[in-house]
Amino acid sequence: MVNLRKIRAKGAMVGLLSLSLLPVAASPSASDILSAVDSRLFLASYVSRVTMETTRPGSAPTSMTFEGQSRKDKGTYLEILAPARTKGIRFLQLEGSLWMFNPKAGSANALRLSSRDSFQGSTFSNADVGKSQFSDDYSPELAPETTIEHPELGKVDCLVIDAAAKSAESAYGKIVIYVRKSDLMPLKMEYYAKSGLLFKRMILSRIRDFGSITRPSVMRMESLDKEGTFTTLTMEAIEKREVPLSVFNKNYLTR
Amino acid sequence: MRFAVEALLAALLLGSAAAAAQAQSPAAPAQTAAEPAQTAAGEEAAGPAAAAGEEAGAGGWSMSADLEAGASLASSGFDPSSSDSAALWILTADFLHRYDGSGWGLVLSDSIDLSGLASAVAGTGGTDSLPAFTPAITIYEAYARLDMGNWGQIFVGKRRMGLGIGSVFAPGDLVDPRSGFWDQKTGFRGFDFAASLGSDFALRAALSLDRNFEAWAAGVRAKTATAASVAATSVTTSSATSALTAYPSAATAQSTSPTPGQIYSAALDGAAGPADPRLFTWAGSADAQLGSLQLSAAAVFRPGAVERPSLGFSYDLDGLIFQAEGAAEFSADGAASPTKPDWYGTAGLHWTIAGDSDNLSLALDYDYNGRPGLLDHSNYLLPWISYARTDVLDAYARALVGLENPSALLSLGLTLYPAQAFDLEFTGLFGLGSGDGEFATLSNFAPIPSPGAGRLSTQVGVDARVHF
Repeated sequence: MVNLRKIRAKGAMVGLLSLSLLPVAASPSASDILSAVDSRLFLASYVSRVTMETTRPGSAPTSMTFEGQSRKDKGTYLEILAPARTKGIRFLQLEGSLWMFNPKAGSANALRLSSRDSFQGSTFSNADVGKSQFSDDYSPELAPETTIEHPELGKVDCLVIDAAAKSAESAYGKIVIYVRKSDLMPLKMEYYAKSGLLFKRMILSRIRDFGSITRPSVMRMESLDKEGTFTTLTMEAIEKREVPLSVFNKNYLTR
Repeated sequence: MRFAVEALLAALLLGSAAAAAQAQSPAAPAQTAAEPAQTAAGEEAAGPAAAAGEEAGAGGWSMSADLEAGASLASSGFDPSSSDSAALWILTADFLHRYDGSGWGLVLSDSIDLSGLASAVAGTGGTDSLPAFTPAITIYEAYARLDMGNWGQIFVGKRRMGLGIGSVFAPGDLVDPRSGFWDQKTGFRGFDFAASLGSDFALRAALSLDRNFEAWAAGVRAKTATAASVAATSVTTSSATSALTAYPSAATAQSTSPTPGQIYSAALDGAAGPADPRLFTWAGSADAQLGSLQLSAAAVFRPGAVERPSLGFSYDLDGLIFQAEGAAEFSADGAASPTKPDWYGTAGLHWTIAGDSDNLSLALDYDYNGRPGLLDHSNYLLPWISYARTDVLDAYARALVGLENPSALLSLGLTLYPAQAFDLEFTGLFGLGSGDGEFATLSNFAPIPSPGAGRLSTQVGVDARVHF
């Protein structure tokens, strides 16, 4: 068992140290900001447990809980814990491929999916859930600073970057990222389709110290082309852990 | 027997189940009770609630179950009033138990089927082959896993293992061959070793003892039939009839069908006994993941009977997924030889169009069989279309089409999700065309017996399913 208290203490130290090293006083570059977004949201190697709730007009909200193991340099392994209908389904997101294995279904092999598809009917794409850093797929440029009205924090001065897709394989054409000027904490993201249409907006809130990392624990992704449709991801636990490479092997998916 | 196995498993796992449940329970309720203080920057300190019961990645015991109740109507023609037909009520329960410990694990996947005959209508073929009530317990998988560090696992027991690339057709997989075109829950019995060389390369080796178990079972049946036959000669005719009813395999001994002894000899296939290593089936495979390209090489070997290497690949081209696999049989057991192998192959493509909550999937697979074996025809197509609206419905239409003497099995399904753990499913299965080979009866594909001697052409059903 991992001692969470020790990890939290270490994480807090690392967090303070990295904050002090950030070049916030000297106007960070777009790349600095995107790197900071990656480090604010993700650890290099971690396990996490997340609950995802999707709301659509006229329908009761649906909820799903899954557990993930991620490495920035490899990808993400996910297993659904609830609801009962999909419990046990596993996903393996790698660079260039996505696999799903349902132990209760009639197939001995994992099924190959496309990473552009919606993740389990949510407003998140498979790539949103599986990706552990933006800087691999997007090239950032500075945009004018602005003040946003955050639903939880009120008016917040933000630095803004336009992160454009590096290749056609990226899930989005562009992501505009708003980070709090004081500590580069990401608070809002706007997702553009490859056609240039703004179609999703994510608000990040409930910034929480998980020990290994201090990050927003609630991410609310709103579909702009379907009014009233949104998905809320709540990070219930995230813990720094050296996830072995074998977790990202298809053998692990069907074990 | 299943209850005994589950009770044993439950007793073994009871100690860790509570801990697992605690570890897996969401932390949110506790957090609400002790709401963390928020700083001026909007940060929440890690309060006492955050430290307890939150650990991600914990193993432990988990169980899921699906209970299904419904009814099915099977008919040898499309018009039940002029055909042999039977109505069956369906009552099944599927269980999946898992235990993940530190360095080891257990899996048990099983099913209890209490389905039975509700009523039958005799047309021209009679309905005498229908059992009134046939409770059945099926163990799809039951295995133990032993981890070797982070890189390898040894599996012992009955386990599914897909060899090669194919998810529908698998021309190289003779260790755990596809038993149906859209259902493969049953594993092979034996040993399996998996090695993960980093994230991109995988090696697997398997030893199947299925042939050994089949020979052993055939031997037991032969001895039982012999005993019944001896008993039958020493009693009255009526007593003999009872004995033959009790032991159906003994009845076949008096017909032109192979005797139990002959069946046992065939199962031994030249081996000295059920434990003879000549009945072992060996397999090995190597898989590589190179970005969007996956490559697979595999081989199956049984001394003097099977020598089947195969090669396959799959590639994701911006959401369009191609896959193809080819195999060659070099065994001298059949007509094939090292210089003149039998060829097998499959190719297919899959495409999914996804919206926020809608998915439309299209797939087409082709299969070629150089020689009848697992399949009777030489050329098959399997088109498949499915539509899913998350948490609302799932619908599909798929068909297995034989291109010689054109025949087809058409399968339709609609599942509605009126509540989060409750499904309502409507299914239909239809036989079309000349109906030779595996198209002769749907009962190989539907979970019901044939209604009679006539060819089964139609099966429709409705089921309610509850998930736990």
